[in-house]
Amino acid sequence: MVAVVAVSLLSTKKLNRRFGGITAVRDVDLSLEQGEIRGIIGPNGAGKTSLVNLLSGRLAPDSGQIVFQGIDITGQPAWKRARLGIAYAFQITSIYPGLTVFENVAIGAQMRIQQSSKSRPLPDQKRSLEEIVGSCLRLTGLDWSRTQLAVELAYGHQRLLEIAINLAVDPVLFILDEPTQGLSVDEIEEFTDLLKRIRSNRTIILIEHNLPFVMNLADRVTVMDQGGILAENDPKGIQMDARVKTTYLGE
Amino acid sequence: MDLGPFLLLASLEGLVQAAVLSLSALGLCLVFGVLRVVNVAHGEFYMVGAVIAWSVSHALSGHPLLGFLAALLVAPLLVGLAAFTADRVILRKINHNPEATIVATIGMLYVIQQSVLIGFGPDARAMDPPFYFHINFPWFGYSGYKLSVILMAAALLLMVWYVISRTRLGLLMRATQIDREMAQVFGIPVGWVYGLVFAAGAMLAALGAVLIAPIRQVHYLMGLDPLLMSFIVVIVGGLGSIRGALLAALVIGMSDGIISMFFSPTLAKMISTLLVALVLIFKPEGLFGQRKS
Amino acid sequence: MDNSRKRSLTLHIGVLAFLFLLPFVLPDYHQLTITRIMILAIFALGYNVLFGYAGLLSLGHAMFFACGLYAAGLPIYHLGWAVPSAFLFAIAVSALAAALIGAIALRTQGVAFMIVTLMFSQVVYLTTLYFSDTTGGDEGLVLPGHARSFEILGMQVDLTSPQVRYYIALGLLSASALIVYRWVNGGLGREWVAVRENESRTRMLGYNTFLIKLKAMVISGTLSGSAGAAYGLLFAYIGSTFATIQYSIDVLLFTLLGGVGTVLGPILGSFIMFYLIDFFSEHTTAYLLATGVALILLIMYFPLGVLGTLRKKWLPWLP
Repeated sequence: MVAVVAVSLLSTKKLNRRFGGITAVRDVDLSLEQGEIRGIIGPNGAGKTSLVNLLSGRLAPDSGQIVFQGIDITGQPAWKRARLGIAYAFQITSIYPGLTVFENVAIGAQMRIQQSSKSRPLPDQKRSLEEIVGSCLRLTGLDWSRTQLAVELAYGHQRLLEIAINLAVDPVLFILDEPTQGLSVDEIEEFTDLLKRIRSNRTIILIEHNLPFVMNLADRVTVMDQGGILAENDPKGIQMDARVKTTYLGE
Repeated sequence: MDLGPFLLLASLEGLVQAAVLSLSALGLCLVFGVLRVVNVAHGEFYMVGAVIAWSVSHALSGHPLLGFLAALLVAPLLVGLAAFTADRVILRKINHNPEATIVATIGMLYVIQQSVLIGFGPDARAMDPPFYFHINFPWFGYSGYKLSVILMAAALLLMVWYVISRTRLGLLMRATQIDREMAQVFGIPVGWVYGLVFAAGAMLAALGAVLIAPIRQVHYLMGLDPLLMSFIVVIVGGLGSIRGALLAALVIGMSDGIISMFFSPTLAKMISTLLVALVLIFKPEGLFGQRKS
Repeated sequence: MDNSRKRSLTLHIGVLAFLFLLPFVLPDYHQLTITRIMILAIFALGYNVLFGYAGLLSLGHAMFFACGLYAAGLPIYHLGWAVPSAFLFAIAVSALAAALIGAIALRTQGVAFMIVTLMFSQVVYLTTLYFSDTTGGDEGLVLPGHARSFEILGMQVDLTSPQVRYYIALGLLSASALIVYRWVNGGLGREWVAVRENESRTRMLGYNTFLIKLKAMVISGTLSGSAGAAYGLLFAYIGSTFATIQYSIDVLLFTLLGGVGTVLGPILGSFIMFYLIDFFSEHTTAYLLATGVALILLIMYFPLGVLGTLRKKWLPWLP
């Protein structure tokens, strides 16, 4: 076995985005390593969501550069980035309410199968749509609900469904925008277990307000303030950081 | 006739058209602005306004001015009532869903138009102008009534402006337009505001029709043209922008009057329709509207 | 899953078999009417691909119908083409037109898309009027005698025979229905429904949603165009009426009535509505009143249409 060398999966250089007179993202240099879980925290309006929107392609930057797996994706539309393996779970749950749970996940699985012939072959060539959907539903514990309409699911289950849809495309980088928002304490605990189960070799970005949750899961934490990066360290380091304490943790 | 006087005549005709167009386009614009729906039956409310005007003036035997004034009162009231009912019964049921509303108002278009065909008949009928009075230019005489149409339309527009910007009703309307849910939270009866605005839009169309009825003939198919023209005006003016719509009505009404004196009307319509579709695709905020951030 | 697929396929083939046997018991008048309806049903089938599956409500589909109609009829009338080549030419032209118009119109969404398609269609209509020297305008053109029969695979086909026309129409309808059935039940259908239900989610999964919608537009426009071509060729007449808003509304109504997003719905809707209008026009000149009332009632109480309502309540396997 070759020792795993820390490779940069995604990096940004001097990323900027303004809305009118407000600079939402200011000179952000971010670098993610393959397989890490990165928490991004910061007060409301710090630019967290804008930053991940720039990464996923929902927004175009005013200036700067984004490199993913060695490819400059700065000018690429969102759907092309998704095909490279960047998945995004919306802050406001985004599923297919009028379709069954099975069909919801099948839409993701179909994309994975379409892509498999190219740069990212399926681990097992024979995997059918049904099998991919089945394994994603089992992983998220939604197997019982296959034939239900998504709109009929409880809120917490809908959030899980969105995770399942995204897992079906087998992402390399999975961005989760406030995944625990609106979940109960028990549900958050289950969600933490789920993330541990699905991380394997995936890189995950967690945008969160729920600090204990982030500190528990993340390998590294980035703190944003007023569009820029205030600090970046492992969870322990962040909790000790004096600047973070004063501006964000409010101590 | 020389080109100069010819252009003057064309501009006057264009101005009359612009005056009436601005009324009916303003109606369509108000409805779109507040309810966020397109009323395809708008032209039929216009047509019904003209038909009522003809019927009223026909029923009152005295001086034509009397009939005209009565029509100016009766037509918008009846049309407004019908529109209000249609909104409360039909559009509320489908929650003013934009796409479903288009389908429903297409249905209303047919129902109104065909009912008038049954009741009023297929013939075009002329209505007496309220007064005969000619203004003599050195080169041609011009109908005083047509000039008064311009003035009356201007007065009506001023009234609408007053209602929107200075009255409580206008305030409720603007609040609902800006944020429907917030308005509801603050206890504004959004359903009633919707019904009233829908009615007001139809009444403006009917008023425009009453003004035009003595100039043009009254016919059950006369609603189609103002519908398309109002569409064009509202799109070019920037969907839902009142100032843009008025400006667009002036420009388009004038230029339509002038252009159709020089070109084949079919070709003119063809090109203008295509241009407007392209405006909607490539400049959805309209030519005179402001881009929203 | 498999069982339901078998059931639905049986149903579809059953409907087509029923139509196949119908002429043996029907009087001539109805045979002609049903021939017309089947062609219009192809139009509705095509419309439903865009509206029912991809969720795009067009108010201008008459432009594609007219496009096929004129692309088939004009070369025959002016250049003396044979029927089969004119038909194929019309299909190609419709596909091209749909791709072009789709590429532009799909930049808009929702209400703007409805208005833009309406306006484009109006432009096509006005164009047929403006070039009335070539198109015959409002009065239209009656296709010459050589277009009333053609030879294919060594067989002589006589287009003046009602029975021949009936079976050609049925053949085209069956082919269209089976193609649509296959597509909507396959990967493409899933992509269309995904775009209809949640476009931004679909894009974020890696789908090129613009291309998916464009595919729906091209398939829809091509089917509508071939319906137009078939109509012109079978009845030997082309005219501007087929480009009017009326036809765009009719096809919407057929689809709404029969059931949005079902394969058989548009076919059923065409039958019901055509006979309904036929019935009313015998009694009144204002038969369009029926159209209006039907539109309002459908959108208020049965937005899913006959088959859509059935599917929701009792037959979830219906495609």
